[in-house]
Amino acid sequence: MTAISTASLSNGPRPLEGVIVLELGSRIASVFASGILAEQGATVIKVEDPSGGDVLRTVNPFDGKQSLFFAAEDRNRKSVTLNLRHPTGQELFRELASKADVLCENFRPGTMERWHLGPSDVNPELIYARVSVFGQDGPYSERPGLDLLGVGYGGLLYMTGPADQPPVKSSVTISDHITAMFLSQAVTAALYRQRVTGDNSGVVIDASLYGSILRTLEATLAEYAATGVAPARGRSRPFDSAPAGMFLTADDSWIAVSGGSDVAFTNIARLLGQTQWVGDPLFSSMQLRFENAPALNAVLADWLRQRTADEAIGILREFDVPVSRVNSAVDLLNDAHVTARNDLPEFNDHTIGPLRLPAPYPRFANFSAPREGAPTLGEHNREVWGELVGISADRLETLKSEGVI
Amino acid sequence: MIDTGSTDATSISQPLHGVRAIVLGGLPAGTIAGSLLSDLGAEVIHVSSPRGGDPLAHRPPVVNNESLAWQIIARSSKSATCNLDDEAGVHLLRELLEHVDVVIESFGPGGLEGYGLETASFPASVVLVRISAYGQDGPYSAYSGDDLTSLAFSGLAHLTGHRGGAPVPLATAIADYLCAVACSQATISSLVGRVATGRGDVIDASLYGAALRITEWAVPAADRLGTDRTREGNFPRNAAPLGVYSSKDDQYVAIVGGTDANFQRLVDAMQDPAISDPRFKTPSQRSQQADELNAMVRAWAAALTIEELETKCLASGVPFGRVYTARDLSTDPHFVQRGDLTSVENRSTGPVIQPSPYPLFVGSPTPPPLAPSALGADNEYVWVDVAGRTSEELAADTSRGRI
Repeated sequence: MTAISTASLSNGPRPLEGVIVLELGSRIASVFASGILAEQGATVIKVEDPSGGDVLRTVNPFDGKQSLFFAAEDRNRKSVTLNLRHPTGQELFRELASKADVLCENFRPGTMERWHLGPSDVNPELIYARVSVFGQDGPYSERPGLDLLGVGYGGLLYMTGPADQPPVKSSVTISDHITAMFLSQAVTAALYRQRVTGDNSGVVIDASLYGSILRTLEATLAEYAATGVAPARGRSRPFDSAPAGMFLTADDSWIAVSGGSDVAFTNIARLLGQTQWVGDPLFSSMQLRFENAPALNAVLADWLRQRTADEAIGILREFDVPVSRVNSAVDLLNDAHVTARNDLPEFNDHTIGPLRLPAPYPRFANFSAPREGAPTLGEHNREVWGELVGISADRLETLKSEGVI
Repeated sequence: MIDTGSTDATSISQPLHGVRAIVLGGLPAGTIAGSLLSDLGAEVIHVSSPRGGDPLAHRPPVVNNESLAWQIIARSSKSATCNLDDEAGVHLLRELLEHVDVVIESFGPGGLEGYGLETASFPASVVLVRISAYGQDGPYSAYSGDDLTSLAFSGLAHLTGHRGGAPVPLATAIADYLCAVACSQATISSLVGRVATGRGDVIDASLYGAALRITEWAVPAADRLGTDRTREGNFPRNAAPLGVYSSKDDQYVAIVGGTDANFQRLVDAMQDPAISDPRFKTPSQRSQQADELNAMVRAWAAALTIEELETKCLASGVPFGRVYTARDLSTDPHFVQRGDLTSVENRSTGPVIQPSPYPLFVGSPTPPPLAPSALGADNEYVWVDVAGRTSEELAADTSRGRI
């Protein structure tokens, strides 16, 4: 093996070291966007309302006093309190922003401007990253909403689920998370441009929740334009071709099998004893296999129903057909590959101590990502307001008693 | 449409202007990551085998013998060919590496090395992204996988579906896109670091890892509480009332009344004394009686048309959503005003409608994407202009099957 060893170089500098990110988020999207930047070395300062902070701190499930949802999303950051509705709070925020490189916020469009904290009110070099359900302009921009609306308006919800049932959402907030990833990408690109050109002018980035989902629709819209039929639920996903899908095994486990590509199809035909499939003109391309999926899937479903998950997975792997158990979190904690790759490492949560969370992603050879857990509310007030902004201890006390911090 | 005055899709004002990336290997996530870099202004070149090209070029849906999916996932990319089974072809690729900033490869663990391309011999400035189903190491690293199996492996499929029903795959390639966006972000981050150090990085991206990263509280709850989170359909247990309901005219609608503020707004909209009961005062009381509350909202929704529901919800400030089809998306005035859809001209298929680059950089419109180049169409540019071969050498390489 000649690949650069992860261990030998893992103490190198993180690429975003020195970048200061202010996170004015609640729930997920701007929180996760800044969390990705933190994994690559940025210092993230979460600015929370002193009356209780991010609403995610109150969302189930709890381990003692800590929301595990908050613990998972809000790792690797500092927490300060600040009342942005208070004129002094707004002034302090502008001071803080003058020290920062990036701001991530997800208030309803117009809110930051109402607080005199809009892009033209703060540090002109700031990369000002904004998340909202419908974007910063357009007829729906002022409507309320959250993740579920992003998934619905973005077109994913309608197409997800079995044909004979209503559309079904994921229990995981998909549009919040993928919006966050796109946003962190755009922020990083803006940082790159500042570094390369030396032009530090600020940038405003406008990320709608529905837009991130829309960006994943791939050919859905083109297919509708070409055929006049809007893709619906219950068919294989076209890019999966067939045979493919979620199947039940003899021991009542769910497994996912993907036998639609040209290579996998030839292999699975051999495995199932259906070698005549390979020359059959009905199945001669991914598109045709997709169109004739029921015939192919029925044979695979029968075969799998007669085998345990372990047995079936073993055989399918032997024939190089993509397959996986449908893992739950408990399955993942016990999985040999997840363990070997340390995909669920321990973080140091500031409320409950050691806590296993999904690993930083992706992994870089040159440095190791931080594994600090979520902060308590206002935990870093002294450090940030005192050391970074330069507010005296006396004034901090006054600000606290006035409800500003 | 913006007239850029040239055939190049990128503009000098774009953040990745001047960055050159090559894409090797056949996983969709690698191709998609390339399209994301090109959306931001990078020059992206697919380097493919001269025999048959990229298997994704046949990815359904296919209309009039043209893969619409390929038109979109490979948009704005240039195409060069190179036969890596031939030692001379490998040598050509090595020459090209001296002139690129980013390599995205998805040959699988050991694939590059198998071609004699030891990564330690890459120029130090190159950012190398290695995408594979299960990552570069670990006991499953040699297994193949794709979006579907990665949804399953990551835990996301287990968390998607109706309560008590089968796990269902999300209808778009979410695992591929999560991986691709994360890879594109990580690439740019590495380029930021390179400005100071001159060094690129090697990035190991499994297809499942990005999906696993977004599974919220499932892992810590299993770790600390011993509870194994499962799919709960359209009506979550930890917030109510909230979900996807049906209107009188058989349209699906999302209505959100979980927090105290939204619940009060919903009470105002419904004007039903039964729901303003003190038993539903706090969020935890409401989540304990989620089924009862959701049944009340369901009955209310079923008695009104979607227009009536939307009017009432918006008047009271209740978050309300429609469940859009491709038809709705194609005609909605909000999407039109924001320019969310782009039509890309293609010589053989005509215009291909597709999602615009996302997100928006306010005040600096992104140039529209271009159709991907046909296989090998940019060989002259890539091997002569970029890699510095002569036209005579190019002709010889072509006739010998090296490119």
